[in-house]
Amino acid sequence: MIEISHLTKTFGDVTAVHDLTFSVQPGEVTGFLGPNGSGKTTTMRMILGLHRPTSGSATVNGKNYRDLAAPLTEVGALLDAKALHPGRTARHHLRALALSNGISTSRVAEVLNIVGLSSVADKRAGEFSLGMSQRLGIAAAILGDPGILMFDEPVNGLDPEGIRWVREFFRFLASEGRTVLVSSHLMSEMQLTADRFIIIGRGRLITQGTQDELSVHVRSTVRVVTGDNDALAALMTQRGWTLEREGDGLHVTGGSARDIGALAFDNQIAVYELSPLNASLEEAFMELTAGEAQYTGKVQEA
Amino acid sequence: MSRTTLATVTRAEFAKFRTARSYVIGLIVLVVLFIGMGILISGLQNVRVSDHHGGFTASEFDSTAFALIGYFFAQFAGGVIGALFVTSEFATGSIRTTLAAVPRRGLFVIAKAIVVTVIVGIASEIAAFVSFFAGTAIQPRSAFDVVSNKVVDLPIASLSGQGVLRAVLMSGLYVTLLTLLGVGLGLIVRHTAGTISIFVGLIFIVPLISLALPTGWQQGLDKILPSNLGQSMIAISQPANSFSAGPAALLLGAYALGFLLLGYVLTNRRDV
Ligand SMILES: Nc1ncnc2c1ncn2[C@@H]1O[C@H](COP(=O)(O)OP(=O)(O)O)[C@@H](O)[C@H]1O
Ligand SMILES: [Mg+2]
Repeated sequence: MIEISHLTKTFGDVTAVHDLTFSVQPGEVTGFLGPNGSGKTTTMRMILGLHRPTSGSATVNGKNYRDLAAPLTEVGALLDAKALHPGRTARHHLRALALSNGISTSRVAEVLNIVGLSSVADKRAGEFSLGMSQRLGIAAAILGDPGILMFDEPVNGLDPEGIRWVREFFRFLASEGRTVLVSSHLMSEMQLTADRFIIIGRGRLITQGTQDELSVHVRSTVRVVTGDNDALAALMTQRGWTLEREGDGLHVTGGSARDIGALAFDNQIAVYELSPLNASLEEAFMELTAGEAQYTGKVQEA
Repeated sequence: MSRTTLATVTRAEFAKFRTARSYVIGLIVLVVLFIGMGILISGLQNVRVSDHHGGFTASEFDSTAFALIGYFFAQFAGGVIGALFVTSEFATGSIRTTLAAVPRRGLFVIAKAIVVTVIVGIASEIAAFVSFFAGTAIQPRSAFDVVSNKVVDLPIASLSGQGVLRAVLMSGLYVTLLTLLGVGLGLIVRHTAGTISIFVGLIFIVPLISLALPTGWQQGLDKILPSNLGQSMIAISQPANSFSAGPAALLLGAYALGFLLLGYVLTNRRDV
């Protein structure tokens, strides 16, 4: 379990993370979403004790990261796949990490096998493609068999087959009861992977919840086709709902399907079709983060 | 139950030293410079004594100093190894992987220092002894001395001679302490080029600055410069205005420790 409480980090004038509070639970894949520069990497670095918070706290299993007896056995993280000595082989890289935490070095061959790098284990890591480096980073993360895993934009550089593999692997790790936090700036990457989402913008928490919970936050549109579209349109406009003509129907925002149905019934207009158009999670994300950017823009103008 | 301790972190840093080509190459360069320059300068004494026009003063023949001269060149290899062992972590970004595995930064700093001390210490001491034996073996045995105007036997140093064993040991220690200084400097500066520039500056540039100072200050500064401390550590008979070998070694050790300590404080405070 990861707990973030009122976490704030400033770099000079830049507030990278602002009063962020959330927790990440075991047994689920949690998607950590936000546009580029929204503070995901900074937050993860603070969890790992690499960055000192300006204020607030981040704990793992109830402890400060620096107080963990053998960190790699409790938290595994892939922050930057290229953050390794390019002259060292994959095997030697992992071996040094295992040694540092007193983890059995026999584990090195195991994790190389799990991520499918056994055949290139003795190649210098500098010669690896980004995709291979991501796999090596994942191998390092699972080296100590930790209960908490964090991956920062792990899909970058992976081919479609690799993307499918990491998705399944993250789901598998969560199914074993582990806490899995995966960041991305693209909702489309996370939609199939994550059970729960934490969405940030400009370092602030925008919202969090499951896929269903998030869709509620989104202005949803209803399609309606009636015997007298013009009459209904006039009535709906009076109520301040917005509408667009689409083919033989209207797309209405502001009123629910229930509201629209009742309105038509009261005015004796025949309804032929009435269907809520659910916004996709992708649209939800775009809308939520765009709103945050506008809001912050206004604050800066003031 | 695994635990991160100084022992496990030191083992990891040893493994990292051995498995990256740059450090191993640096170590080879250090040993080759140390021994090679000792042999070269000792061998060249044969040319000097046979050059009758140049004139040769037998009393100025310092067998130990010629055989150990390589320490002066080896210190730069040491400084580069020490600096690189730290700065390459920052240059590649691997520092984040390292410190995520070892979040207690004191352990990280001490382990780096231990590894460098042991590896460079052993290599430098071996190089010092090899250089001493090879150098003295090929030095000229006699020369025409222009002062006494006759052929005289030259005093070839032996390990049993007064202060000779100490000089050999101290030359290796000097290179080791400067390597540690490079580690400390690397932790402070974090950039490879900057660290090495400052290191070279400490050896070469500060003595030049000292020339511009009033005589009293100059003597005070000269006495405590790393390169002059090195000379004091290795000299058989002390030159004027210098520490004797023991205090010189202690002071240089204090420098190295001071840089490491500042490096630790900054590493502990700064983000990576
Ligand atoms: N070391 C740093 N110094 C100054 N600004 C930084 C530093 N690291 C991150 N930032 C800034 O903090 C903000 C958040 O960055 P980051 O956490 O990398 O976002 P994300 O990972 O979501 O793309 C950005 O505006 C970035 O420029
Ligand atoms: Mg990022």
